Amino acid sequence: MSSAINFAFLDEYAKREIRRSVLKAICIPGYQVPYSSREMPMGRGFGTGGLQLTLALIGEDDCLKVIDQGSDDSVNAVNLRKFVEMTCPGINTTTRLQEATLIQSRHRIPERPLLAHQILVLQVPYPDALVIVEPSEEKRKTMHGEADYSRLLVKLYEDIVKFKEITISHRYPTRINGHYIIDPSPIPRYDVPKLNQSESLTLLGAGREKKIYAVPPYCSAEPLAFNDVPFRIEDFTGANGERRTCMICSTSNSFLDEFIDEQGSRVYQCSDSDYCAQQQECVHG
Amino acid sequence: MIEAIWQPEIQQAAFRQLVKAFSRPGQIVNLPMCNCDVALAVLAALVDGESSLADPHKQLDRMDWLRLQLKAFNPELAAFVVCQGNKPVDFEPNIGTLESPEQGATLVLRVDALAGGEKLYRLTGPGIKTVQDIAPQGLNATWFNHRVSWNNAFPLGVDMVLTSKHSVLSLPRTTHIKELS
Repeated sequence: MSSAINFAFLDEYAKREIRRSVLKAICIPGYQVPYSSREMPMGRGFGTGGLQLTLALIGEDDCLKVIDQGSDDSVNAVNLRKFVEMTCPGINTTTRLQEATLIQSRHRIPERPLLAHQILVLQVPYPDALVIVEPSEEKRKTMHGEADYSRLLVKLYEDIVKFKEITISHRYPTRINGHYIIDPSPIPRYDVPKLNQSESLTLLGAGREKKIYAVPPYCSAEPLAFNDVPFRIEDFTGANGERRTCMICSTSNSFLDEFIDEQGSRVYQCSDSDYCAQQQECVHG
Repeated sequence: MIEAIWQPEIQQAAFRQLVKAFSRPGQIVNLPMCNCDVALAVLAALVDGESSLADPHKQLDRMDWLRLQLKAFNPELAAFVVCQGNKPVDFEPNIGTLESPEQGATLVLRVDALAGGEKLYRLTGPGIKTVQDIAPQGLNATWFNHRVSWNNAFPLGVDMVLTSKHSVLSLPRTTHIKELS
């Protein structure tokens, strides 16, 4: 890489702006701090929000893990990891969660709980949970400030009337520290409780929508629900009444992806590829 | 030879320590790599001409202002205000608006030490597992008194960073402070 490119690609002014936004995001848990979101050498919507956070945070002592839908090997993860390796000489990358100090992820929170020294960066396509009930951002900002989420609750109620269940599968509206409701990015419901009182800091970056927000450690994150209709996560119980297991590592306590195999039957496997590999190591030594 | 804190990699390391301090209010976090006044290190990592800074107690010299690439702002409007903690509060900082609470100021308060003070304060709130006790030295009591009214209506408020010779301690607006003794 030519030395004409600054360490971590962004110039120092861009980094300082992201730093100021990150600290305000931590101070106002769940509030979407606007920032300028610089042009990156990849399209918006390919994780530029998460990438800018990672680049503003990363230093030479860091070890980075990038995952996409739980996998270290999918296209988005590989490309982002290569970009950071190219522009940040001296840093390390890994696929093992325990070795990582920074974890950038799309659509999943790792299976194993994160520790205090680790920072999770989530890529966010749509940061505002209120966008489905209010098109004007100006009005949404007032609603957020007043913690006025009645229309969002009506939307959930309508779901129950129509389908007898809240039908949101991912991007589940979650209330942070009893005030702001966030879109926790397209993580499945299964991952939402991991944000609550977590040991690590979670930062969320939306590049196209130019917002940064945060869930600090030891902070409440409550999925929106009703007293008589509690929040529930995905149910992996099979037809035989037992919980489905991963076809590769046989674990029965992970979030599973469903596939159709060559014979046309449904098979299940861990979505978190690193967790699956480590489970196999445990079994096979 | 330019001081370490004006080098990008040192500013990055300082910022990471600040992330730690802000996500764990009350914890004393060291910034040993800066090798200079820690309040200045905080500013160098966060502030440039695209932001605004006030220095009502005249703690920065001309070279600091040149390197920070900005001019002094009115403390009632500035995004960052660097103050001497032993002086009483003599201005009303910006607390932001309901729509844009991030415009609430960050106060950088220089104190003598972050621990060992006579008054003990107990902190609770996001980032703190149960409770966190602090006892800063050389902090005028008016800062915490005024903080109560500034931060009275969340999300409005100010965020504080106390700095000593080598370390920082942060008090985001969400942190609740109770005086113990």
